[in-house]
Parts: sequence; structure tokens; C-alpha cells
Amino acid sequence: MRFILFGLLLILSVSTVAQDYGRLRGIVTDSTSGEFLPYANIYIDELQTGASTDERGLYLINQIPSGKTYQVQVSFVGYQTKILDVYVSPNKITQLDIALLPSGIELESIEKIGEKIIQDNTTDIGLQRISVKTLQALPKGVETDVLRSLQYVAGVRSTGDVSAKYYVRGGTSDQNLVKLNGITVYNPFHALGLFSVIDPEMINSVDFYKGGFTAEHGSRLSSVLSIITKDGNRNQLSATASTSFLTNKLLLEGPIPNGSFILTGRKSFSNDILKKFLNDQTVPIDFYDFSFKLNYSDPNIIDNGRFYIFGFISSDDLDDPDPLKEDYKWSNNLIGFEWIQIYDVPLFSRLGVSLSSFEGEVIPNETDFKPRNNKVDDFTISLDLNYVWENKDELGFGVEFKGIETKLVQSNSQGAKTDLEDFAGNFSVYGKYKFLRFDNFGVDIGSRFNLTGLSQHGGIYFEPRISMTYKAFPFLSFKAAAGLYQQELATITDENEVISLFEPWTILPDYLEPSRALHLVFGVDLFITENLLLKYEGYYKDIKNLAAVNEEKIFDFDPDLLNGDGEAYGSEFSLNYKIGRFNINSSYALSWAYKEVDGWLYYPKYDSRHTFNIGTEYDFGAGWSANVIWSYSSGLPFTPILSFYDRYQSGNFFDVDPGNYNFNPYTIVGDGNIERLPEYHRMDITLSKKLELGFLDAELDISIINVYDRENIFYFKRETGERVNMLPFLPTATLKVQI
Amino acid sequence: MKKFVYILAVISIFFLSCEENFSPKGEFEQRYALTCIIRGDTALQVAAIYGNYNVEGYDPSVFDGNTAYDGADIRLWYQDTVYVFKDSVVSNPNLPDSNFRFYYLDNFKPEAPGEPMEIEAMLKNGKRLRASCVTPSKFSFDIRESSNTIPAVNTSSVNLLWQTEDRGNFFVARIKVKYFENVDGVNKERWTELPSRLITSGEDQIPIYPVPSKMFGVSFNRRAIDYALRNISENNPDKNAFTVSSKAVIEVLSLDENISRYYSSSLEDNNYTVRVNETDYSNVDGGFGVFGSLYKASMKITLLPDYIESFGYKVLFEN
Repeated sequence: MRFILFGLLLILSVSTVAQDYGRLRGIVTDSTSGEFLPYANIYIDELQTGASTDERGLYLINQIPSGKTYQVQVSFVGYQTKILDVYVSPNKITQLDIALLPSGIELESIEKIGEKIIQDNTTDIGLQRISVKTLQALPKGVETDVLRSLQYVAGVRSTGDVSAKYYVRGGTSDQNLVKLNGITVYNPFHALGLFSVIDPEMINSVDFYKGGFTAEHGSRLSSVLSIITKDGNRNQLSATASTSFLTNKLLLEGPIPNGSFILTGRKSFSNDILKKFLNDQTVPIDFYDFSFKLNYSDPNIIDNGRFYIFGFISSDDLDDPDPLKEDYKWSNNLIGFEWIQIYDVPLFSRLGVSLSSFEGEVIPNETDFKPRNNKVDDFTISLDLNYVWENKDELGFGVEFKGIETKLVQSNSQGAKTDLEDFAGNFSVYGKYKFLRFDNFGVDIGSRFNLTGLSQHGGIYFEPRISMTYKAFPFLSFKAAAGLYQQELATITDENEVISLFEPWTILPDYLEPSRALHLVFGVDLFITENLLLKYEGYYKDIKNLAAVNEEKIFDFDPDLLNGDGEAYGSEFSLNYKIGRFNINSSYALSWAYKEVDGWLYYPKYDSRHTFNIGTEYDFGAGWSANVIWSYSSGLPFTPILSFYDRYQSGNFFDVDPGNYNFNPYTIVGDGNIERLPEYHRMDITLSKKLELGFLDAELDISIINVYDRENIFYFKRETGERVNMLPFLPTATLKVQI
Repeated sequence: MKKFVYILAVISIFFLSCEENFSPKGEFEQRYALTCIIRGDTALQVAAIYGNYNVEGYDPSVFDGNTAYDGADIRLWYQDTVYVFKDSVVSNPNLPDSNFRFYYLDNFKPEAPGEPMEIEAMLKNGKRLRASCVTPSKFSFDIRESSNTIPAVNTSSVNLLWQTEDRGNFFVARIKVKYFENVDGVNKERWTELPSRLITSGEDQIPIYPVPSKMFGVSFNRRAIDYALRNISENNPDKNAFTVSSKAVIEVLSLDENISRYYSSSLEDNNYTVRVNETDYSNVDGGFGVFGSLYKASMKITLLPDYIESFGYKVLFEN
């Protein structure tokens, strides 16, 4: 603590040293809604310097020679560029909040523009920003889905069209952290994992770290998905209703005194479309989600402070009318409070207090199955501080306490019971320093310190991290990152399940070591032309003490999880070309992933050697736009069928007559995941039209999934050898109306 | 021009679609499965050997051959004695158009608990299939805690409990009721098995019978017992033609560890999960199948005469 106080005092004292420079700070918003615009560019041409807004629309430009008026250019794709004259006062921060007016062009990607001009030294390797407009432009499937959209990112894999579950650079799915306004979402899926629980209508920004993430992010080994929701329209009350083949949605937003609110709700109304995903099987699932967010900022109470209250509920019910089938329930409940404060010195703080709970339940009804229940309660309090030095360097510091309780009661198919209950606290701090003083070189170096662990063997553990960028030429940057990561929560996931309904979370049991990973990442950004960007990232990931399900759990006392190891490496390329209304994004990944559990080395089910995506967007004008995506991946691993034998069917043990013995065909399979399925490819098209229906603004999207009806294999039924394919040719439509 | 390029790019992707000939099958290798469950309730012990096979396509149910293996030399070791199986064939209604070829012993009835056994099958091609097991531990009914009448006094269900040293192995229980139906002046002996519970699906009532479980007890719901006894005369409205024994038979099988694992490896734990690569448990070295043992304990329980008569049936008093 003394160190921290000393550091803060040092920072404050140093900040008073600057004499000849001023600073420019502010917020960029949408002029029609007042919504913050993340990743907008603010540029002072005369000084050849600038900044981008962060995920909350904040920006800060340092080292501006003071006592002078500058022309400041503010740009954001989809908005009219604004040029303002601003006088920069000496020795102080000049506040400049900017509201941009939306323009007509809709489909250009926002995140690329200006990066090469402004963010020369940004340490962002492994970071993928997915804009709302990009999300909206993607083929809808049934409806826009943020988790499904990740599957177009190089290095991210799914195991089929059916699931929104994703795997990042050879990591398991429970190694992906999903945060909604900074709060962990433990089960981010609706409807057996088909869709995410996060309604895209409420999203303002999406940051996706697929590796090498810096010290402020903890608790997971593979990736971090950070979603910030909209604040709500500050200018006027507005409502948006939309409908798809699956859900009806309503969004309500508007101003309140000194702030705004937003309410979103989504409810499923039909299961028919789900049959397409589930091999024509009817699954009587019903789900809804609801969220609210209030923000309040009153300079009379706290200047430059803003308070948020956020709540989110999602619920899924699989309620089968057949008493001989079990029912399922899943729910997430999140509530959080956030205080964001900008101080007169260039110090930014965020205080967050949140509760996140997840409960999953299997109700056996009249089946012979045993009830299952899993509950996670997560209380988190965190403080993040970020100080920006006059020379652009930044000091970051944070404290986080997580109290987590997990309860799991279940019996597996072999009747072995699991009864795990644990409550533990993880107290961690992080400190980092970002050297950004050089225009063409940036380093983010720091470490997390886990002072107490969630699991028995957690204890004190250091997770040093470093991320750096060197811009060798105006068109060429080199990037690298390395770090250690620890995870003490895991799901009990059976890898043999291609559709899994119950994947409970638990704090790692006492007999397991915490899972730990090393990330090494290297990258190159190359602007081949002004509009053509080639990005390369190579990575190596080594995972120790991977928590893997014990398939041999027969007795209650057998462990549920085993420690295994994992290794993944690969190369990822992405190429982005944009000119005017035309935009092409493509990515290619060459990757390897291995797991070793109980002495058996194998390819995990998501290991795909080659993955390629190409997407084009075009704005035809007059409200028409189109998007086409073609995805290809080489075959996923599968276990081959070798032959069959007649297996004794142990139905009636009382029967002593050998003539009544029952033998049924049974499939003999080879070594697990030793063979590869055929390659996967699919093309999706979306056509969008903006309409004006009287006083209503409307948007109609017509999508076709799997345009050429490619029969991509999902799996083979072991019992019958029946081939089950992924999504067939599937036309869908969504209509959104805004009042 | 840009529009043209865009449309051209999209159309060209269509032509990348192609069909592939893919087979999920690996290389066939001849394998054998030995199945032998030694029972403690009979001197007739049976073993079977099947070879594996392949089919055109992927559906094994289309296979119409018989892969039962004959001519093997199967021996069993138990308490310093070697038993040699004999070869036989019976008609098996479960394998149409084929006979069930099996090996048997007709003079072996192991009754000692916790006793090791070994089996070895020597095939004509020199291949050996070997396995071992240990007979289940001693178990007995918990008379004090179990119900002693049907229906039970003061409770709505008949509870049966037993005690054992085995942990984690499976047990399965049943209650059989003997009755006679007078058909054309002749009393024909029949048995009915009591379900443990009833479930209602729409307008139907479905009886559910006990399945193997790790529990040391089982409960038979009164409604389910009523249902079974009522159904005795389902096809004959003349209740007077039925005579029900006052003693029902309770049987409990104790499955050893291998049979328990074999049984549980084929169980599903829900109706929706889709699994590939299911576990196929086997304790047979050199092949598939299972070698294990099970013991049976039985006792009688009184069916209350008033209860039998409440259905309109006559009572056969037995000790």
C-alpha cells in the first residue's frame, strides 16, 4: 500500500512539472443519441498527432504546445467528420467534448481508419475490435450474434454451425472470459449453446483479446471478450422493436435528469427454426433475456464523474411435456455498479462492484437420471486507476477481490456422484506501465499478483505480462507479447459431447493444481497500400495442469477432473481492403492444438489445421447494402469407425436362459480424434434495406445461410452410422422498427 | 465497375462448392468379444464369443451374418479347479435366422463371496482372450428396516433394503407375485412383476420397473403395486378366476465390479446430449466383451389377504 501511495504521489508531483504544454481531453458522442463513440479518431494535423477514444468514448491528447489555437479533426466512420478550432491553454487540460452527426454511409469498418495515422505505438497485439456496424453487417443466421461473429476471427474455432461456443488458439471453451460491462457472464449461451445471451441491440463496443492480453485481465487462460453496452439515448425517448424467426425484441431508451437509461428485452416465441440446427429434432426450449442500464452524471455532486447501474437477466427453460424426458433450466443474473471518474490531473479511475450468479439445473422428472444442480455466485469489487504522464506514458494499477462460491451436485451416467462445494476469495492486484513516449515504439509491461487463490494450490502467483509495438516504417509495425496466465475455475465438460446441455462450473478441487499458461505472440502490421492492410500474428501457447474431465469416474470417490497439458501454436493472417463503399476482409489461420490427458496425446475436437474466411461488404446506396461471407476450414478431428460387433445387452439380469440373451450391434471405434472429417465450407449472404415507414425508421435484413447448400458433416451417429450435417440452406429475415 | 467486381467475386465463390466422397471408416481388423457372466443362482454358466464384422455403409443393423465363434477352448479357474466349457447351440429369438452358439458349464455354481475367478478363451487361430473378476461381496437383506408386508403398514410404499460391503457396484431388485388363472377349469400358474412406480403420460399410465443402481434399497409405490395386481385380470373380467399367492418373492442381484462398469458404460445420462466416442467398457484382454459375476439373494414377503381380496381375487395361503 505504501508503494501505491508513493507511486500516486510521485505521479501527482510529476504532473505539475510540465510547463510548456497543454492537454486536450474529452468525450466523443453521437449527436442524435448522445451515445459514446468508441474508437473515434481525434487528430491535430498541424502537430501530426492525435488519439483514439477508448471503449467509453474518452480521449486524451498529451504534449500539445500550449497557448495556441489548433484545428482538431474528429472522424468516425458512419459519421460526418468535424473540424473544430480549439485553444489549448498552458499547464491545464482543455476539455473538448464532441458530438458527431451520422452520415449516410453505413457499412465501412470503423476500426481500421486512422489506426495507422494515430496509433503508431498502441500495444494491441491479439486485440480484435468488433464494431457494432460490423456486427450488424454480418450475415444474421437467425439473428445477429456477437459470439457467432467471433468465429470469423482468425484463431477462433467452433466445432460446428450448431454451437456459438468458441475455442481460441487451441484453448478450451471454459478458458474464455466473457465480461458484460466488466461483469463475468458464466453461461453466455441460450438454447443449448446455439446463440449468445447478449442481445446485440444493447452493445456499444466489443473488445476481443485472443491472446497475449495485458495485466488488467485475469482469471482465464485463453481469451477475454469485453462487451460494453450502450448508455441509452440522452436526447430523446426512443423505442426499437424487432422480430426474427426466433425472438421478439424491444429496446427502450431515453434521457433522465443528468443521464439516460436503456432497457432491452428479448423473448423466444418459436422453436421451429431450431430444428434446422438440431437435425430436425424438436427441443422445447424457451428463453428470454432482459437488461437495463442507468447512467447518472451531475457536476454539482461530482465533477467529471459518472455512475452506472447495470442489470442483466437471462433464462432458458427446456420443459419437455414428456415425463420420460428430463427438464433443464439455466439462468444468469448480473447486477453491477460502476463509478467512472476523470480527475483534473490526467487520472482516470473506475470502481466496480458487481454480483454475477449462474444456476444450471437438470430436473429428471420420471426418468432414471439423477438431478443435477450447479450454482456459481461471484461477488467482485475492483478498482482500476490509469494515470497519463505528460510524455504520454501511462501507469495502470488495479485491485480486485473476487469472492466466488460454486456448488455442484450431480451423478454421471455411471451413477458416480459429485458433490463439490467451495467458497473462496481471490485477491489480486496488478500494476503496469505503458511506455508510449516514443511515437514509433510502445511497451506495456506489468504483472498481476494473486495474493490469495481460489483453489487449494492457488496461493501467491505472479503473472508477468508484456506487450510491445515497434513501428519501423510508416507502413510497417512489429508487435510482440508474452505473459503467464492462471485459471482456477473450470467447467466439467465431456469432450465426447458434440451437443452438451450441462457444463457445470466449479472451483478447481483440492487435488488439482491451478491451470497455467504461457503465451508468446509475435505480429506484423503491413500497409501494402493506403487501403490494404495485412496483419500477421504467430503464437505459441503452453498450458499446464489443464482441467480435463475424468471419463473413468466410476465411483463417487473417483476425481471428476484430471490434470492434463495442452499446447497450441500457429500463424494467422488477415487482409483488409477498403475503398469507398466497398470493403473486403479476409483471414487465414494455420494452427495446431494438442492435449495430453492421462498419458494420451490427442488432437482436441476443435483443432483445425487451416481456416479461411473472406467477407465482402458493399453499400449500394439508397438504403441497400449487401454482405457475403465465405468460410472454409480443413476437417476437424473425429474418431473413425473400425467395425462392429454384437455386444451383450445387459437388459434383464434375472434371465438365466441363454436363449434369451440379447446381443446388439455395437460400433468399434479407433483411437480418439485420430482421423479428420472432410473440409468445411459455407457461404452466407445478407441483403439489407433501410426503409422509412411514415414516421418509423425500419430495417429489413434477408439472410441466406449456406447459399449453395453444402453438406458439411457435423458428426456420425455411433449407433447407426447416420451422417448428421450442419446447417442446410436456410433463408431467414429480421425486421427492425424504430420509433 | 465496383458493383460488377463485387457481384463477380460473389458468383465465383459459388463454384468453389464441391462434393466429396468421405467414409468415416478406418481399417478393419479382426477382433473378438468374449462375454461370460457367472451366476451364483444356477449351475448353468454360459459364455459366448463373437467376431467383429463390417457392413456396406454405416448401419450395422443391416448385417445378416452370424459371427458367433465356435471351436474355442474356454477354461475357467476358480478355487484351484479348472472348468472347461462345452460347446452348444440354441435358437435365439433375438437373432432371427440364426442360432445362438454358446459355450456352457452345467456343474459350476460359485457361492463364495469375494472369490477371484479367471477365464481364458483360446481361439483356433491361437488368439487368447483373458479376463478375471472377483465375485460380489456378501450381502443380505436388512430385515429390520425393510417392509415385511405388501402393502406396507403405515407407509405408502414397500421398502426393501440390503446390506453389503461393496461400494459402487450395482444392484437390481424385483418382486414377483405368483397367481393362478382358472382357464377352462385348469389353474394355470403365472407370475407378474411389480413395478416400482407409475408415471402418467397424457392419459396413459406407464409402469416403471427397477433398474440396476448403486442404491442399497428400492421402493415400490403403492399405486404401482395396485396397478400390477389390477392388471392381472385385465383380459379377464371374471375376478373369481384368479387366485393370488399370499407370498411374493423378492430377488436382489448383486453385480460385481466388472458387470457394474459394463452396464453403466452403456447408460445415457440425459436425452438431449449428443455424444460421440462413447465408452465401451471391457475387462477382456485381447478383445472386447465382459467377464464378471453376479449373485442373487431372495426372500418371501407377505401379500396381505385383505389386499388381495380387495381386487376380487382369491387368496392362496402359503408359508
